[in-house]
Amino acid sequence: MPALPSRLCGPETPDLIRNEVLADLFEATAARIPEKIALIFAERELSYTQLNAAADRVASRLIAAGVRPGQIVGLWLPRGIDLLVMQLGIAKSGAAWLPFDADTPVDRIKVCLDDADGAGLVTVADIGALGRRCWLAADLLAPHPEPLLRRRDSAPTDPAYVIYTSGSTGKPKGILINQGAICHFLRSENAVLGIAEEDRVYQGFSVAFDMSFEEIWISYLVGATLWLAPREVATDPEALPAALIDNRVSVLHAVPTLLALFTCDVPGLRLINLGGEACPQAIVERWARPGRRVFNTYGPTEATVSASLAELQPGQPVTIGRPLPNYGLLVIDAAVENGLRLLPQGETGELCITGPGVAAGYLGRPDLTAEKFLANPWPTSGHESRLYRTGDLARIDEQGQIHCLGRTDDQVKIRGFRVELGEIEAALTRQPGVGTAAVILRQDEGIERLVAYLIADSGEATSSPALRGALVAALPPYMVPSHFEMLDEMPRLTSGKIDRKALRTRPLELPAGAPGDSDSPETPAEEILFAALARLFPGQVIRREADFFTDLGGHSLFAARLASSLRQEARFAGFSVRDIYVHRRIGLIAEALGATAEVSFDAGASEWLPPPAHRRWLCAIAQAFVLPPLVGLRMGQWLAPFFTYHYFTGDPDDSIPLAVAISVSVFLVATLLSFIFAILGKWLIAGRLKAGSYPLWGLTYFRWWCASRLIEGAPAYMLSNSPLNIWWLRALGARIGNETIIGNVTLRAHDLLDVGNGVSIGNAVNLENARVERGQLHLGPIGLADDVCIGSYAVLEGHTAMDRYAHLEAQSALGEGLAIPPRRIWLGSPARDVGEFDPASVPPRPEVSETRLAREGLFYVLGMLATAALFFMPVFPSFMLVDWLDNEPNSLPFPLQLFKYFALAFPGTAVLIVGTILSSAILRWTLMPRLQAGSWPVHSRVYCSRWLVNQIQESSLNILHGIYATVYAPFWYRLLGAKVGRDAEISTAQGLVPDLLTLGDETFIADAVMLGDEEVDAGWMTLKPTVISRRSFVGNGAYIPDGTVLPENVLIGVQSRAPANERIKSGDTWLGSPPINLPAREQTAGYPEALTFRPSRLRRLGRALVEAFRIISPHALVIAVGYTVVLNVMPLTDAGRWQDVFTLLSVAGVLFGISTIVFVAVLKWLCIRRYKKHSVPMWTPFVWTSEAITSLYVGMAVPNLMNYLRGTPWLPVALNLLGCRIGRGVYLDTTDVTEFDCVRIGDYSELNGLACPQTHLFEDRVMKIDMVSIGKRVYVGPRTTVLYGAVVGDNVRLGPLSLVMKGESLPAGSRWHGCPAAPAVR
Amino acid sequence: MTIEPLPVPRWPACRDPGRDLLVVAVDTPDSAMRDVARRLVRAVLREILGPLEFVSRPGQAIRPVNRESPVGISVSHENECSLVAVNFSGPVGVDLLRLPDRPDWQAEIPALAETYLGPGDAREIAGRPSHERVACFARAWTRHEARLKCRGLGLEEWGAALEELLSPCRVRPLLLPAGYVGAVATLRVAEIPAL
Repeated sequence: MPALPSRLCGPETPDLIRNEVLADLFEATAARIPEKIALIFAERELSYTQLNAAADRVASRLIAAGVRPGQIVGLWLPRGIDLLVMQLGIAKSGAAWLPFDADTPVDRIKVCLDDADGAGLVTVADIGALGRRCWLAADLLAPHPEPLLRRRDSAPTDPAYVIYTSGSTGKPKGILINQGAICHFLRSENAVLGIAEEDRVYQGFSVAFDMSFEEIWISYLVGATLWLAPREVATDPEALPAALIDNRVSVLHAVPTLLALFTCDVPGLRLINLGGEACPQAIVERWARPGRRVFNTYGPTEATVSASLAELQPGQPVTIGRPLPNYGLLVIDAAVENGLRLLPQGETGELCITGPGVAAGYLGRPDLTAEKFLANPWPTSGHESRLYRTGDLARIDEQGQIHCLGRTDDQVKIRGFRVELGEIEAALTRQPGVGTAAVILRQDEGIERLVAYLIADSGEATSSPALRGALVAALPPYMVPSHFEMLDEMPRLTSGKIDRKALRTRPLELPAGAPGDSDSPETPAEEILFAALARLFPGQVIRREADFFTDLGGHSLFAARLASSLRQEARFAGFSVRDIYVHRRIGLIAEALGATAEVSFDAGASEWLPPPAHRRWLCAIAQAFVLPPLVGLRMGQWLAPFFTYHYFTGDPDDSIPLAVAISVSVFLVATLLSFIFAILGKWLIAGRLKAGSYPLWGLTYFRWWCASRLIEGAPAYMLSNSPLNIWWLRALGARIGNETIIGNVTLRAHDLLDVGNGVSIGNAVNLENARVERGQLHLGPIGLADDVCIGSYAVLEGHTAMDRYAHLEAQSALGEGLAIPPRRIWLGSPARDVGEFDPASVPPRPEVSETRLAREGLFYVLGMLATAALFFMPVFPSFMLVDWLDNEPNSLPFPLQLFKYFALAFPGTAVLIVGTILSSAILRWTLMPRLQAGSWPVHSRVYCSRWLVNQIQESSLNILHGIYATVYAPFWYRLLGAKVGRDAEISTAQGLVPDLLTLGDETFIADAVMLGDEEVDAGWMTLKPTVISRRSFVGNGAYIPDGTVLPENVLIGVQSRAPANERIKSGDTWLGSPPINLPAREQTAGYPEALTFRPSRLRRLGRALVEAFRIISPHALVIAVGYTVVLNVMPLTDAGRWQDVFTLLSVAGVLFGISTIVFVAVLKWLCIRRYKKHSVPMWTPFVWTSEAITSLYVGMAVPNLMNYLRGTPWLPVALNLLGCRIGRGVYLDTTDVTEFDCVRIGDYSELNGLACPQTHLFEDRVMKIDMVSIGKRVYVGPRTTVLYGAVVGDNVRLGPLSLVMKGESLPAGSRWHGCPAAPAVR
Repeated sequence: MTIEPLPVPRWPACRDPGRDLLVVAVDTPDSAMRDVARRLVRAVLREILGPLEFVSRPGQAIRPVNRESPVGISVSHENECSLVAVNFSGPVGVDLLRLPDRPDWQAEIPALAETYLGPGDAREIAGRPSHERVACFARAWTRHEARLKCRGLGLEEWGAALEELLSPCRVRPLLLPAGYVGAVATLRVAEIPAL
C-alpha cells in the first residue's frame, strides 16, 4: 500500500470565516454583556461598557487625527489596563497596531516604525527622536465631548496588526496580519479550546508577542474576564502561581519555560494552553490531571498565531497535534529549489501551513515574501491558495499527529520571541573589536539563554560589558546574549560554516569575560583569596561578583580545600567553610575573610615554663605539714561530741539526757568554732590578697591554698541565702552591700569580691576569681554593681564586672575580662547579650524595717543552730544501740576492735538513717507550711519557710547523701513532698523545692542537676512548679529553670540548660547553653527492657541490698573508728592527760582520713579491678558496684581527705593510687573523677575548680564508660567537663563552663570554649 | 561489621516497590557545567515522583513542594554521571565523587580529613598505604557529605556537635562504575518521625 502523503487538514468550518473586524467582535460582546468585568489590574476593574467607552474616546481622537483603516499605529506602553485600552482604541479606529514590548529600545522602535511607515506612536511620553507623531495615552483617554467619531469602511482585508520578528540579515521583518485572518483564528482556535464567558483568563504575554491574542482577544470574543499581573508578579515564578490562585484564574496561556518554573500547582486552572516553544514531556506529567485540559499550540506569526493544536495527555508523547479548523499542514521536501514535493507520511521535512491565517507576506520585503510564501500546488478550497514555509522540521506520525523536530535554519525562539541568531551576530560584528561572532542558544537550568562566541579583531580590545552595553541599546532585551565568550579560533565545518554543534557542547567559561578579565585584588584578604582561588581553578576568571558554586563551578570539596588553604594564614585561622556557603560571591567571601577575627593558635601555649619541680615539692611538703591540722579540725567537729557523749556515759548513774545535751552543745560549739577558725586562719595566713599573678606552688599560692582549705572546712552551706552568708563572706574580706542575697556559692578569693546593694546571686554559682593557668595563680576582682542578678549555676572568672541591673542568666559563663553593661541580660557559655532588662518589669522592693531585719537575723541564727542540732540528734539512738550491743568493751586488740565496731555499727547506722529520715519527715509534715507557686518578698514568712525547708533538706542530706542515685531516693523525695513516679532515678539533684516538683514515671535525673530552684531577683523570690514527664532524662550538671515543664521522653544534655517550655516538644533532645535542639539522638538498642526499664524482682532486691550497704557503710566506718579511738583514749582522761587526748584525737582523725581512701581503693581493686571501655545496662551488679564505689569515694574519701588535697601535688598521687594515670606536675583543683582507670592527664596540665573528666554517662539507662584523654600542658577552665571518648591534644586551652563532647578530638594548641565547646575566637 | 554496598542501576530503572530507597545513576555530558545534568535529573525525578511536585533551585537542595511530605530527594553531580536518590519514607543524602587520576591535592588530604571528617576518618586514612589514600578519603568524604545532605546541613568544620547531629544517619557505600565513589545516607529507622 502506498504511503499517504504528509498532509493534514483541519475540519472544514466555513461559518468561522466571517465578514468582520476585531472591533466588531469586541463590540458585539460589549453589547451582549455590558456589565461583565472585562479587565482587572491590581485594584482597578473595567466592565465591558467602561472599556468600550474608553476605547471609543481613544478611537475618536485617533480618527480625528487622521488615522484610518489600512494605517499602522505604533503601540508602546507599559503593562496595564491603559495598554489594552489603547490597543482596543486603535482597533476601533479601524487601523492596525504595531506593538512594542515595554523594554524595546527607541532605536528599534524607530527602525520598525520607519519600515512600516507608521502613522505615529501611541505611548506615554513624547519621543522627539522618532520623527513621528506621538499620541499620549493620557490625552487620548481624556473626557471627550459628544459626538464621537467612529471608523468607517473597515473590511476584513484591512491590516489588523503588524509584528516584527528578527531578520537573519540583521534587519527586523514586519509581518502584517489582516482583520479577517485574526478574527478567523480567534473563532477557529476557540472552537477547540472552548474558553467561555465564565472564565478568568490570565493576561501575561507582552502584546508584542502574538500569543497575547489568545489571551486578550479570545476573552473579548467570548466575554471572559482578563486578569493582568503586575510586572513584578508576572516574572516571579513563586509569586505568580500564588497570585493566580488568589485571583481564581481558570485559564492560563503560557510558554512551557514559565510553567516549568512554577513552584506550586494552581488548582483552579481548568485549561492550560502552552505555546511559543517546544513543550517538554515532564510539563504534561506534572500539570495534566482530571478536570484540567492541557493544550500545546503551534504556529508561526506568519500564519496568524497558531495553526495546529494538540491536547496533551500524560504518558503520551508531546506533539503539535492536528491543524485547527480551516487550516492545513503539509510536510514537504526542504530542498524546494527542485520544485515542491509533498513527502510521504512518516518522513521528515519542512512544515508548511495553508489556510485563511496565512499572511500576505513581509512588509516591504517582496524577495523574502516570495521565498517563504508560495502558491499552494495542492489546494482543496479557496482559502488554501497559498502556503507558508515555516522553516521548522516536522514529521506526521501514523496517528496523524505532527511532531516538530527543530529548525531548518538558525532561527530560534527564546521566551516566546523568535530570534534570528544572525541578527544578533550582525549587531555584534558591527561593534569595534569584534571580528567573527557566533550566537547560539544554550540550555541553562532549564531556561534557555543566548551565548555569544567572539573572535577578537586584531588590534582593538573589547570587553563583555562594553558589548552588552552596545547590544542593549540596539536590540530588544531578549536578543542580548547572557554571556559572551572570547575564542582564539572559531570551530568550523568543512563547508566553512561555523560549527554550532561544537560550540553548543563546549564547556562554558564563566563568569562572562575573556581571560585576563579577572578583577585585581584590592585588600590583603582579597589577595590571599584570589591567589587561593587561582590555585583551585587554574585559568579561570576570578571576579568579585562571581558565585563560588554556580559561576566558578565549586562544590563542597573545593569549598573545604579553599577554607583549609585560607586557614594556613594564621590571620585567617578563624575562617570557616561556612563563610563560603553563606556568602557565595567572591567579593563577599573576601569581606568575610577580612572580617574574620583572628583565632589565636597561641604560640605561647607551648612556650611557658612549668614551675620547677623543687618548688612544687617544697610546696607539697609545706602542705603536708598543714594537712593534719586541717583534717584534724574537721575530725574534731564530730569526734569532740562523740567523745563528750561517751565521757558522760558508761557509768550506771550517768544521765543520758545530760550527756546528750552536753554533747549537742559541744557539737554546736565545734561548728561555730570551725567558722571562727576559718576567719581567723584566713586573716592570719593569707591576709588581704591582691589581684595579680603569682607563681604556682609559690608562697602566695601556698597562703591562698591554706586559707581556701580552711574556709572550705566550715559548713557554709548552712548559711546560704540568709544574711548570715553575707556576714560570713564579709568577715572573710568580701565587700558586700545591703539587701543582697547570696546562695551556696563557691568563691575563690574573698578579698576580690565587690558586691553592691540589692544584688541577687543564685545557688551553686561559681565565683572563680582564682585560677591556675600556665604555672601562675591568677587572682582577679569581680565587681557586681547594685541590683545585679546572677542565675544559679553561673560561672564568673576574675576581672569581670556587671554594671547596674545587669543579669547573668543561669548556667552561663562570664569569662575573664568581660563586663556586662547596665541593664543587659547575658546568657550562655560563653555568655552573650540576649536583651535588655527592664527594672520596671519587677515590682518595687518592699520597704523593710530595722526591727524586722533584726528579728529575721535572730530567726536565721536560731534556725541554723536548731536544724544543726536536730539532725545531730539521731546519732544518739545509734550510740545507745551500739553500747547496748557491746557488752564487753576494750577486750580485743586494736584492729579487731575496729572490725567489731564496724559490724556493730551497721544496725546502729540503720537507726541513724531511719531516725534522720523520720525527723525530717516529721518536721516537714508538722511544722512546715506547704510551699505554693507565686512571688514573695525576700523579707516574708514564705521566704523564711523556703529557707528552713532547704536547711532541713541540706542538713539531713549530710547523713543521707548516700541515698542519691539509689532505689531509695524516690521514697525519700516523696517523703519530703515531691510527686515522684514509678522507677524514677534521682541522683544528686540540687535546689529542688519538693512541694513544687513532679517527676514522672521512669524519669532520670543525673548527677549534680540544678532542678527548679527558686529564682530570686530584686528582693523577690519566685516559685513555680517544675515537672519532668515520663521517661525524660536530665543529664549531668544540667540546669532546669524553675517552672520548666519537660514533656515526655525529652533529653536535656550534659551541662545543658532546658529551653523555655514553649520550645520543647515531646521526644526532643536539647544540648548546650543556650540550648540547641538536636533533631534526633543516638538510640542505644540491643539491651532488653529487663535490664533497663523493667527489672525483675531479684534484680531490684540485689540492687537494694548493694545500695543499702553503700548508704550505711560510710557512717558505720565513722562510728567504728570513733568507738575504737574514744575507748582507747578514754583511759588518758582519767589520768588527766588532756594534752595527749587532743594529740591522739588529731592523729586518729588524720589516720582516718587516709584510711578512707585506702578503703575505697581496696574496695575498688577488689570489686572492679580496672575500669575499661564498657557499655552496661543499669540493672546489673557491675553498675551497682561501680556506683557504690563512686558513692563511697564521694561520700567518704572526698570530704574527709581528697578535698583537702585539692591544689596539692598529693592529689594526683592519691588518684593514681585509685587507677588514674596523671602525669608530673599536674595541678588539680577538682576531685570529680569516677572511673579512675579511664582518666589520663599529661604532664603539667592544669584542671581548675570543678572541672570534670566525665568518664561515664547513663544513656537510655545504659551506663557507657570510656577513656578521657587530656594531653600535656592543657588548661581546663572551671566547671568544664570533658566527656568520655574525647581526646584533648597537648597545649589546648578550654575556657570556663565548657563541654567537650563525646569522641571529640581537640587538636594540639587549639583554644576552645563554650557549651558545647567551639573554637575560641579572640 | 561491613555494610553491603548498594547497587546503583542506570536510568531508566524501576523502583522496587518493596523498598523505599531508590538510587539511580543518570548519564550526563562530560562537562563541569551542570545545567544539562540538572535538566536531565529533573526529568528523571519527574518520572520517579509522578504527581509529587518538587522545588529545584540552584544553590538549594531539591525538595518536595509540600514540606510535610515524607519523601526525601537528594542529587549529586559529577562529570558524565549524576546520582538521584529518592527515599519515599524520610530524608536522604547522596554524594558522588569522581576519583581523580592524579589529584594535585593529595598532599592536602590529611588536613582536609582532620578538619572536615573528624579524627576517626583522619586516623583511618592516615593508616592506609599512600596509593590507597585518595580512594579511602573519597569514600570517607562521600559518606560524610551524604550524611550532611541527609540532615540538610551544609559542609562545616568537623566537631562533636556536628557528629551528634550526623549520628542518627545510616550510611551505605554505593556500587558504582570504576572511577566513581559514592554513598547514600538515610536516617535509622527508629529516627524517622511517625507519619
